[in-house]
Amino acid sequence: MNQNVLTRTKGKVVIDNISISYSSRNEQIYALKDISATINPGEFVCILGPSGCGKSSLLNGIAGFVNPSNGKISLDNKEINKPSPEMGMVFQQYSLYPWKTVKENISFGPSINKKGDESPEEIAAKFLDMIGLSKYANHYPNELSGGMQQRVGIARALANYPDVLLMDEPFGALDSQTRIIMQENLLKIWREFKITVVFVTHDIDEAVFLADRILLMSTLPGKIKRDLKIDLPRPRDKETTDSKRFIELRQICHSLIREESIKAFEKQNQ
Amino acid sequence: MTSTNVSSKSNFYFKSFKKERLMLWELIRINSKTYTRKLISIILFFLLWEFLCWIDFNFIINFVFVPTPVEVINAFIQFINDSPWVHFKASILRVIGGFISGSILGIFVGLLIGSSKILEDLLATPLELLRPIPAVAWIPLAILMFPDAESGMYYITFVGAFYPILISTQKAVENSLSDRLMIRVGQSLGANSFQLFKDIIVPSSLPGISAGLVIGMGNAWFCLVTAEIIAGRFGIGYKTWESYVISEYPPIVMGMVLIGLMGAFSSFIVLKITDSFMPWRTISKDGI
Ligand SMILES: Nc1ncnc2c1ncn2[C@@H]1O[C@H](COP(=O)(O)OP(=O)(O)OP(=O)(O)O)[C@@H](O)[C@H]1O
Ligand SMILES: [Mg+2]
Repeated sequence: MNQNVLTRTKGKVVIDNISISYSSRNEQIYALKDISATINPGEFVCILGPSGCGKSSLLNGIAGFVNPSNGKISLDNKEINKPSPEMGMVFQQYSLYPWKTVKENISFGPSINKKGDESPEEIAAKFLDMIGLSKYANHYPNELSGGMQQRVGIARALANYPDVLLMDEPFGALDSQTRIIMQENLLKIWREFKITVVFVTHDIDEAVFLADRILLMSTLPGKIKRDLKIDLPRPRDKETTDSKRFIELRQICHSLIREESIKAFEKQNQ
Repeated sequence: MTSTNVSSKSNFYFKSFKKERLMLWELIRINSKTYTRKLISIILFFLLWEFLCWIDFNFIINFVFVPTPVEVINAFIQFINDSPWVHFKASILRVIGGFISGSILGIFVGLLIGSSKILEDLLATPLELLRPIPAVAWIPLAILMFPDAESGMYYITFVGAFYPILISTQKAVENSLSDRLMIRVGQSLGANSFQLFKDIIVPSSLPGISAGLVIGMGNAWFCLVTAEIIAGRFGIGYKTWESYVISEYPPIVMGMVLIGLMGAFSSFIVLKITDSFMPWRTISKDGI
């Protein structure tokens, strides 16, 4: 893992003019249309947009769960057409396997794609330590709080040592205090692993706090409306959120999102 | 509020003699209310039965010929004094044999047709055509098709156990497959189809399969009387049938009660065993 920090060249995601459509009730609906973006190795990119604009669709496209109807997405110059352990995913809903203990949930990935010389159990123990849940190794997910479950979800996705971590509103269901702590922890983990993170959210503060870059999306069909660089210094902490620049950037996002949310609401109403 | 923690994992780790005793005591205390309620329901049931016989109840249902609980108990004492074990042994073996073969085949075929469209198309229709045939209707064929009466009887209890297990397994697998999130998680972690099947589809289908096994066990007992109509001499079901043929009523009811008791008991055992395969579940009733 340490060598990864020095020579992180993997984890480049190129989204090349893709559209994603769903056919429902004999109707072809475009969730995304003609989207292009490049996400560089080690970059932390947030996808920000109102509900229903196609954020999950885009992330599912990158993960290989849905194939774009045209265009292509590639990871390190290899076209993605199915899910692979090179990309870890943290889901919008709680998604731990209820029949596996916390430890077994984390070691599941490593146990099916053995690589390196760490055993799955060692990997699980290490990541449990990292998320501070070693005491809960043998508990079942339904004995954990939502925040703890989501931490395990992150550890599970990282346990495969992926090049890219995809996160779909992972903290959406948490209270604001827990959420802030989780965000800070996530940044710590990201600094340590230096992997590419694509983080979907509809929370402006969250996006500005976390991201190197925000891709702001518009609605129906989803497009990238703005590619916004977040030039806040790192490491970021509570003080970051009080800085003048943070408030400025938040303001910019606010006004852009507001237009979109109103448009989205009207369209969904038709 | 009665809540049963199926997975007392933490207790498992801090097992000490003292703690264990305390837990047992607590368990009895917590459950005593349930036990009392269950006991009362049984007593009421027998009292009602005795009462209806006593007044010779006869409106739509006729209790005039129904033996009273006391007569049934007398028949039971007589039965116990008269080498009952051959009958018990014969019946239990038939039920266990039918149940185990029904479980193995039911789960196996259920997993196959639940997870593969091709196999479903190939197998489901004939199985579905055979399913509504009641156990009694199988008797003549069972006699013709099998080399001896014993295997014919195994076959009939097998049929009883097989179908509920098959259908529950198939539906449970289909239900697991409809959980796209669980499957996507597995795919993104790099699982291939076999690993998805083994680590995700099967465990998430276990509650459904377990329900099928419990019903299947009950059904195997249900079919026992039918199966033992073929029998020459031994079996609780045979005893029941024989008593009917010679118009001795108390042993009929005794046979029925015995089958009911053993059926309920063995379903309970199956439930406990399958629950032990699913330690992750926490079930709390009433306090929803
Ligand atoms: N499986 C599907 N079948 C049909 N339509 C779908 C499907 N998944 C998504 N859509 C449609 O695509 C559009 C985008 O959905 P998506 O889930 O990507 O939005 P989102 O931005 O993630 O929303 P949210 O923030 O609420 O999670 C929506 O209009 C939705 O109705
Ligand atoms: Mg979404």
